[in-house]
Parts: sequence; structure tokens; C-alpha cells
Amino acid sequence: MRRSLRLVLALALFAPATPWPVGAAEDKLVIYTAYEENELKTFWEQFTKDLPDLAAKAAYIRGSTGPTMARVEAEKANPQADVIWGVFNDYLTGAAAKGLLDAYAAKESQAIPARFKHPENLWQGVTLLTVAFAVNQKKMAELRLPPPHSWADLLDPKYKGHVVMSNPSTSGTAYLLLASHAARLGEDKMWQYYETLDRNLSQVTKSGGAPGRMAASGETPIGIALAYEVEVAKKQGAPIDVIYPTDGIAWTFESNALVRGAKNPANARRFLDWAVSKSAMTAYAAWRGAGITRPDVPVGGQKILDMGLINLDFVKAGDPAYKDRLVKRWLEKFSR
Amino acid sequence: MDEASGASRSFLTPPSAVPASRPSLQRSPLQQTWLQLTAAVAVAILLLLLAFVVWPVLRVLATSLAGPEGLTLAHYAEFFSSWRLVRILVQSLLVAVVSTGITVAVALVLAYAVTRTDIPGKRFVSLMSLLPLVSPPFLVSLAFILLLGRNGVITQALHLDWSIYGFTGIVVSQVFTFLPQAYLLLANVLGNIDVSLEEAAENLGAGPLTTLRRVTLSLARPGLASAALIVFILCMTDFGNPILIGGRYNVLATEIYAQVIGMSNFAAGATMSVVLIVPCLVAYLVNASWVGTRSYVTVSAGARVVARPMPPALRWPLFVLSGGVGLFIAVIYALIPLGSVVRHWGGDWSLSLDHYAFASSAEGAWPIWNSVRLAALAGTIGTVVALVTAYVVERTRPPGRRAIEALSLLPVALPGTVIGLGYILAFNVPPLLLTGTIWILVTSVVFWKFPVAVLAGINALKQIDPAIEEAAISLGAGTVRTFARVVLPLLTGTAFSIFVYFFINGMVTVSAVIFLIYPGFNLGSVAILNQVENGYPGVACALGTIILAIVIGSILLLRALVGGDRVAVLKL
Repeated sequence: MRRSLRLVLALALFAPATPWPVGAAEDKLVIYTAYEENELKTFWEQFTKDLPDLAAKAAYIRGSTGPTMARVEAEKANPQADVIWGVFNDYLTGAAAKGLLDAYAAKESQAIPARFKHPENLWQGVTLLTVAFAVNQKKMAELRLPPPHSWADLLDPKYKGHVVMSNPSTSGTAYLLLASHAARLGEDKMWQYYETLDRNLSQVTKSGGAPGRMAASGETPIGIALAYEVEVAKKQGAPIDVIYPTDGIAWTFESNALVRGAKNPANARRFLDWAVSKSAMTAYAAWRGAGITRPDVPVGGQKILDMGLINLDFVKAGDPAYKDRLVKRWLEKFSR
Repeated sequence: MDEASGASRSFLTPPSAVPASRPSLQRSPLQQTWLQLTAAVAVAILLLLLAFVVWPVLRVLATSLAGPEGLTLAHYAEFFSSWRLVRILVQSLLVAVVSTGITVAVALVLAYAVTRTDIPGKRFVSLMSLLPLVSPPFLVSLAFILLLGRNGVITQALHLDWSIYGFTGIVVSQVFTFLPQAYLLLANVLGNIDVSLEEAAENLGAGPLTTLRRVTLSLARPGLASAALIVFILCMTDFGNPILIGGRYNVLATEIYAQVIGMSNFAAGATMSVVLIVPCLVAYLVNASWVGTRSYVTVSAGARVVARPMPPALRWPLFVLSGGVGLFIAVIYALIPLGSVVRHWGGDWSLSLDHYAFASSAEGAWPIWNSVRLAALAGTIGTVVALVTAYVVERTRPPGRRAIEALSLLPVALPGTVIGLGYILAFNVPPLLLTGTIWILVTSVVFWKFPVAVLAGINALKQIDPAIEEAAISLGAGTVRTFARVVLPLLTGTAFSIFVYFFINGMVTVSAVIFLIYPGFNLGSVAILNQVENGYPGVACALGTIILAIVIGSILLLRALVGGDRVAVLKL
């Protein structure tokens, strides 16, 4: 028995230090973000440098766009997050429509062009993104396949079983693509396009980052991925190319928002101010190149807005009813 | 690890109500207090079960029936009018039926070979069949991906243009994942059949095949049915294997997850949950009532069980098959540590420990530490609650003990995804606001895994003759003293077995907790899924290896601490 007692005592050490959540006044800041782990590290270091006192109280929680926003919705009655940072604007438009966000115009946010801001300041855009083909050179050479250069090329039967993309019901990137093709082709032609493309797909992943990583590791020759993520993999030595489709580039931007019912609203506003500051923008640019929303921060590289972009109506794309309809139809047609 | 487990047997023979005749003794004030105490404890347990088993299920049911204006069947109409969702239901049933058929058939042959024949290598087969019991349920899928995925060893060696993802992948993974459950159950049944009966049949002129068919298998039939029903529930509710190796083949358990976590469509998720519960509940009730009453126990003072020599024509095929299965399980589990030290599976076969740096995620190895905390808490709390429940049900017999027993066993029929969804819905709002704390995870593991633990406790108590307690009381020990000095010490072996059972489940479970993990608190088992999805199978293998090491290590440590075979591996 004594031995068992010792065991029980040992186990008591595993008990959590703070078993029940306690609410204290603004001694915390909880940030939900969909930024990728690697870039987030850079951004966070800059934040810690600029506002050490706030950073000491702050904790970020990283997740895929869909699950992160689903969590915000699930926690509506008892919000755990104060701030949402770096989430696709269409998801935030949807969250705003569901009453999950409060308006806040961050200091200096007048420097951001109006097209990157919600008309009622429910969210404000900070970083830009494009979608491209991630092509593994080694795999393509083995298969003796030429790289695709356009969305139309991708339908060629020679790519059958060689393309991976993500699932629009779970991945923000995949939904962006769905809405962008609808804007580019019209809805009917878009479904025809997806039907033909479906024959070439080998897998549909949950996370939007997976196709790019699979292309980098050689699990698939072609993945449809966020361009800057592929650029990063390439810099790290993966045998991979980024190919921008010539018949239209899907793009979007990530935004920040204040959670309605945030338990630490003052801290939250301070963070939102920082997140659009010149210093933050410079940190974003370290990973995103020209993909930032403030024109008054000098950056190198090709301006995303000068590329052949698909003209997507972001407010329409973010409308929950529209999104629900497209995603349901996609599931009905392509999810088995 | 031995296979001692009373829990499975009582699925065949539900505890019959034999009222313990207690000598009516004069009640001292202390005993009065004791009686009041046990009554209060019974009420407390009933309340716990209502809160953590019934309430979440009711919340799921209510969510599936809630419309903008009161009750509605609209969500169900939507489900059954969607071609896709009906197809997913059919696919789930198909996978479960095929997996169950193969699993039970293989398990029967293994159990027969090990318990009734004299083939060599029986211990090896028994030992190997235990491995899947103590590992995350989807490590088998991961191993198959390493073998037959697009970068798999076999795929590359043979230049296959075929991939394991889909129906085939789910079925083969489920067969090897759930084989132990069926095997141990059937070994138990076959092991209790008296050899004399077979010998009698043969003496009366029956050939070996007739004896096998008409005597051995006839006696094992209820056990077979029970194994089939339990494996069916396990396959139907399996989440880890389909999500890892299902590719584009969806089943209900994974679709619920996609609906809730991907699209935050709680109503659709709840509706699918109810649809998923129905076949599981039917299987469970059939097992409990129909099969339970039909167990042919060969009554004798200890069945004589000896391995009988087999004709070589049967012996060698049995040896090859059971040895082959055992060997294959060994290979599957060897692949996980191997995959963790290969630099890039399918590309660069050089060895490296890079994956153990966990650089692909800022969480590093923290999720494993979280798992250990969860497992230790679930183990401690679960053991106490389960033993107290067993004692209340089996010994104090308060009014309403039937309800307590039934509610304790109900979670057997509840899919983990349904528990997960139910817990979000039930504990996301006051008064029991548990989301975002470790307690929602602890309670989900404890109450989802409650049935086996309670049954083990009840069985252990049944084996303690009430006469021992009566003797203690007659000698003037008093009820409290009897409980503390007689009953508790006799239960320590069972207590540690139950602890191990909860601990293992805390370490490896994924389907319920994947809904309940919260920002900053990921679990090792869920991290494995994420790493595979994100294209880092090596890191997933490293996490899997550490979890396996912790689980097996802690079982061995506990056995060393409290003494050999008193700690058993429990199973459903």
C-alpha cells in the first residue's frame, strides 16, 4: 500500500497548476492566428522587440483558417480570443456577418488603401497572397512531363493522378480558388472546369498548406499552393518551382480583427495598432516580399497588384450564404 | 503483459443479480454513517453519469432536432436527401462489415491455433497481438503508408502505380488494429471449452472436421457473435484509420469532424452523429441481450484445456498463418521507429535523428507532455471513480443501481466523434464551463472509457467472496474497517490494471479529444495526425515511437513497482 501511496503522490505532480480558468483584469492577451509557424516566428520576434510589456502578457494560438474560425464561432458565448491576426478576409467577412467581431480602426490604418479594409472597419488587411502551381522538378523529370503554365494546361489528361489540391470545406486557400474560378469563368463553367480537373487529382487534402509541402517532398509532382510558401520551400533547397498561371492568378489578403466580447479589449486594441504599424509591415515583408498592404513601406520584388490577378469580389466571396452554397455544391460533387 | 481480463467475459455473461445475503447485524452509529455515505456516493455517481454521459448525448440529439422555430426533422430530411451523405453512410457500413468479417475470421483461426493446438511460436503470436492494444489506433495506417503509400517502400521497389489510400487501406488497417480485441475475446472463449467434449465426440466416431464444426465452433458461437458485434462497433466508429489512409473515401466518423471543425456546421454534425449511433447502439443491445443470454458455458469444476496434437495437414497451415500474422504485426510496429530515423522516407534513406528535433512545428514535443498529463489525470481520477462505481453497483446495491450500471456501460456504443461533439455542445456554456481546460479532456477520456473499467471492477469484486467480508464483520471489524482493510487491498491489482487502461487511452485516443483540444494544448496523438497530413511522416513516426515507448515503459514500470502479473492490459 505504501508503494501505491508514493505512486499516487507522484501522479499528483501531473495535476495542472491552474485547474480552473480564472478571469483577472487585462493581464492577458490571447491572439488567434493562421500565419504559418515559420513566418510567425519572425513577426512575433518583432512584436516582442517593439512592445515587450504587452508581449509578456500575450499568447498566440496558431491553426488552419477553417478550424480557427470555427473555434471562434464555437466560443461565441464565452470568447477565449481577444484578437484574430492574419486570417483570410473572406472568413472575417463571414464572422462579421455572424456578429463575432467588433469594429476597430487601428491607429495608422488610414495608410492602408480602402480596398483592403472592411467598410465598417470590422477587419483591416495587412498581408497579400497569391496561389500558384508548386511543381517538383525531380518528379516531373522522372515522369517526363512538361510543367503546366495555365489553369487550362492543368486539365491535360497527361497530368492524370499527378495533381494535389486542398478541400474548400476545410482550407481557406481551396475556397479562395473556388470563388476565384467562379469569378473568372462564371459559375457554370467553373463547375465544368472542376469536373475535368477532378480526373487529374490524386488527393484532396484538409489543409491548404499540404499540397505545397507534398510537392516539395515529392509525394506529388504538382500541388496547388500559396506561392510564397513554395518560394520558402525552394529557398530551403526543395527541388521545386513556382509557376504562376498565365490565365489568371487567384489572390487574397489576410486581415486582423477585434473579437466581440474580448476579455482584454484594451490590450487587443494596442496589439491591433501595432499589427498595422510600419515596423510590423517590415517584418511581414521579410517573408512576403511585396505582399503587404501599406504602400508607404518601401519593399522590393514584384508588386502583386501588377500581376495578372483574377478580379474577385471579396465581400461577395465572404458572404456566408454564397460560400455555403459553393462549398456544399463542391462537397456534393467531388467529396466521396 | 498478460491477457488476463475479466472485462470481456462479462460482455458474454452480464452480471446476474445474485443478492448477497448479509447477516443482519446490529448497526452501530459508525455503520449508520457508512450507509448514509454509500447512499450519498451512489447519488453522486448517478449525477456524474447524467452530466458526463447522458447530457452530452442529449445535447447532440437536441442540436440535430433544433430548427429556427422549435423542433424540426429538417436536418434529417437534408441528410437522407443528399446523395453524398447517404453514400457516406453506405460506405461506413460497408467498411465496417468487411473489416469485421475479415478481422473475426483471422482472429478465430489465431485463437484456435493458440488455444487448441500444439503449434510452435504461440507465445510470440499472443504477445504481438497485444501491441495494437497499447498503441494509437492509427499507427497501423501510418505503417501501411510507409509500405504502400506514394513514397512507400513496396510502391517504389515494385514501381507500383497504385496507392493504398481508400477502401483497401481502411480495411487492412482496421483488421490489424482491431485483431487483438477479437483475438483475446475468442481465445478466452475457446480456452474455456472442455477438451473432454471434443474427445467424446471423436470417441463416438466424429471426424476432426465434424468435431470442429459441431462441437468446438458450436460452443464458441455466442463468443463469435459477440466478437463480431464489438469489432463492428469499433470499425464503425473508427476515426484515426479513415482520416489517415482513407484518401478521398469518407466515412461518417470523419465527415462529422469535417462538418463541425471545418465548416462549424454543428447541426449537420449532430445529425450525422445520431445516424452513426443507431447501428452501434443496435449492435450493442443485440450483444448485451441476445448474445449475452446465450453463452454456452461448459460447466465443470475447471474445464480441462490441453493443446491437442493436430494432423500435419492442419497444423502447418495454421502455423504459417498465425506465425505470419504475428510476424506482420511485428514488422508494422518496427516500421514506426524505423521511419523516425530515416531522413526522408522514399527519398533519402540515410539515417538521422533530425525528426526528433520536431522543427516542423513550434509545438515541438510539447503535445506528448500534454498527453502524459492527460493520461495521468485520467488514470488517477478514472480509477477512483470506476472502482467506487463498481463497488456501489456490486456491493451496496442502492435503489437505482441498475440505472448506474446501464449508464456506465452505455459509452461502449458511443462513437468517439459523438462524445467529442457532445462535450463541446454540453460544456461550452455554464454551468459546466469546461472548454479550454484540461478537464474537458480528462472527463471525456474517463467517461468514454468507463465501461471496461467498471466491468473490470465489478468482476474483481465478484471474485472476492462476500463471505470474506462477512467473516471480517463477524470478527468485529465493522463495515468501514472491513472495506478499508479487506476489500481495498484485494482490489489493488485491479486498480492498477484500470489505471493502466485509462492511462493508455489518455495517451493514444484521438477521435473524441480532437474536438476538445484547445489553443495551446495539443495532444501527441493529434499531433501525429497533423504531421502526416502536413507531409512530415518522419516526424509523425518520431512522435509515435515516443508514445509507444512511454506506454510500454509505464506498463513495465508499474508491473515492476507493484509486482508482476497484478497489472493486466484491459480491453473492450
